[in-house]
Amino acid sequence: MNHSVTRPQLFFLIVKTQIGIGLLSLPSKIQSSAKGDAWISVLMAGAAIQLLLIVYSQLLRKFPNQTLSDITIRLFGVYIGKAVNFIYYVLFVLIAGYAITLYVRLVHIWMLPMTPGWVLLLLIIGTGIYLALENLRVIARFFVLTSVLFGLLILISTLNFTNELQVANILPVGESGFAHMVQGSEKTVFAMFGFEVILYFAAQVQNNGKSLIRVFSFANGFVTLFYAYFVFLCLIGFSPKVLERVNEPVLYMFKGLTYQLFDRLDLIFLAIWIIPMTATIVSYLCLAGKSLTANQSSYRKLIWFSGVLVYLLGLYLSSMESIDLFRKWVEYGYLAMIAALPFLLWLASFLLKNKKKVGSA
Amino acid sequence: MRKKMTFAICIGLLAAALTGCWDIHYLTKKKIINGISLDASEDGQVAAAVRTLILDSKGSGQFEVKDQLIQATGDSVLHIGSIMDSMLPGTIEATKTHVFIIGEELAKRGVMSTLEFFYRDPKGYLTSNILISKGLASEVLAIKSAENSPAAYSIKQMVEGAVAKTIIPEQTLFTLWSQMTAPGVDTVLPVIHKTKNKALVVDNIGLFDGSRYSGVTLSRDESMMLLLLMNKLNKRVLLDIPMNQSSNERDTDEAAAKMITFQVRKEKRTMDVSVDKNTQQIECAVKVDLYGDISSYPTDEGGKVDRGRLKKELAEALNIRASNTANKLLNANCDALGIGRKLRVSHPELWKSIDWKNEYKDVKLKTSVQVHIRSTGVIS
Repeated sequence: MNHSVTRPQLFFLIVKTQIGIGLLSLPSKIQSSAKGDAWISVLMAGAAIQLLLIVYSQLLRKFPNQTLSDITIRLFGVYIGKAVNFIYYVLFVLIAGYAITLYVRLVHIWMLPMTPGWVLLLLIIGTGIYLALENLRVIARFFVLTSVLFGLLILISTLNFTNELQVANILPVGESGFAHMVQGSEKTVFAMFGFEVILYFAAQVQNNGKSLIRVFSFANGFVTLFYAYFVFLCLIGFSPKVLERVNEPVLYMFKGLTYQLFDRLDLIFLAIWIIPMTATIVSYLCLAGKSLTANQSSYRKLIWFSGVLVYLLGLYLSSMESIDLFRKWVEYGYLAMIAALPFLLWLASFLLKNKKKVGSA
Repeated sequence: MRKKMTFAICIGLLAAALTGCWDIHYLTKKKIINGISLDASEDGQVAAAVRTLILDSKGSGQFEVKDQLIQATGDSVLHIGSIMDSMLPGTIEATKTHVFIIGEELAKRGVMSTLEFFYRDPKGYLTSNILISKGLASEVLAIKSAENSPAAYSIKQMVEGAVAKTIIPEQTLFTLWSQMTAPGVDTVLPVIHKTKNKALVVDNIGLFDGSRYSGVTLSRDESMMLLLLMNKLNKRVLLDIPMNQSSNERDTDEAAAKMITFQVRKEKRTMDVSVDKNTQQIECAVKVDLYGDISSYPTDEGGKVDRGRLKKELAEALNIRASNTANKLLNANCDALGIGRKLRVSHPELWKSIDWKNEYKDVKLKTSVQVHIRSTGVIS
């Protein structure tokens, strides 16, 4: 059986994992620090991620056909490597649990206020597991298919240009200062999580020996521009004070539109947005599986197990009043594991090279 | 086999958890509100009146729509909502309210805190039109419409018509919030009032000073002029200009009755905000170029239209109108043109050092209107 994916499929795997629930509330989050320059923050975050992607591609070039879990074992040895992989596993489950909590909260507030949270969780996890159980090629195909919806989303979002827009809101450019913009881009990076799927999925790309940096860059460029576009639209569509107060400005923006045929475009947008949000969950479940095993049957068992874990975590987090503390720990812990550790691994790979030839697999 | 069984059970479980079971809402159990009026009452309370729809099924999918007026007083919109809910059969639903009418007194108190609920509620319908009424808003909403159609629909249609003719700005709850809170700009709202013979008219604009209604309204002509100054020409605008009679006719009674109607189809506007380096005087020059046709020019002479002369006369009359409108804006302390916003962008240092609300009154606001006649209709 050949489970390899093509380069375009990898592109969509990255993009679909990155774009998710984070975007909906992103504009107001960055705006609170970067003010009118929030859109610059997004571009800066994109640039920072691009640097990281270069590290990723260098690392992966040294270890073709190997996922991050193979690389850690190879560099750290079996015991430490497995321990590191376990940490990754835990983080993937935590991130999935966190994402699903936000997801359920959002649906609960905007669409289905009466439906109990456990039911929503069950529906999301159910569909998530169902797709994550398949091999990567099936997942990728689904992602590619549903990516058509991005076009639809962009199309719907252009309707906002009929609203009253004030470009003056973002002027004068650079007013908020560099430090605030950096703060804003930090928040953006958290909303852009998902690029790390590369470390696991790139191994399954045909001919991955050749540099994949172009695919990575395209994906990153697309996501950055997509985010910047929506942030920009929110910045000029709302007054700064309103943007600060609205929780999900990307959705709220659509409340100002009405047509003879369509009304409440925010709900239509959200209904479509559910697919990228679910795709994110699927990706993380899949990552969780791949981080501990390469064997398909144990992978399936692990997916079931992780799915249950994510469900329980989602239930627990949903019952909590505030998950801010949890969010902080997970976000920074995760950032360290996907940014600092791969970088260390890359450096370590140089040391290793002197001892024995790597990448000859 | 076992795999298929588990699969079937999963599907069954998921199907059982389908959301409709919890979040189902029957239209028949709802009382749909399509118009709300809010007035100030004693002790900071709010008096509200709503128009609720009654759908009478006439069988075979046909419905007869009637409406009913309900009034209640309470501390907040939601509070009033619960009181009304108890007064009516069915749960009230304000998720498709077409018009909001705010009484003059309440508007002077500030409206955002009253309307807050609609912004917070995820089901809130923010594209409803918002109006200010001269006098009590409930009296406006209580009007009996001539046709059998619900009063709120009639008002909505009046608003739509006036918006298309650039008499009033299109204001919804959604646009209002951003405008109210934006720095360096004040909002304007359409004003609805009752004439002596109990008809409703929507052709004035009410000026806001910050989040409060200033109490100043612009007349019909000034309203149109303001929208032109704001560069908000909709499809068209019909400007009525009293004709400047030749000197021998000026004394006759007929003179007053003559009006030229100039239909504007296109406008170009430039707005420059500058600060005098020495005196720190803020100046704003608004230049409007109007392109359009002569729609009506009732003369007895029956001669051809002298375009050159007419152009000049129209511009002269409109210039006076524009400067009157500008003065009213300054007096009401209403920065409807967004001079502050421009100033913030062009002179950020100055903007930070001044209190715009105090400074605005002293702005030198210069307006100039140019008229370009593109056609005179099918006769010359």
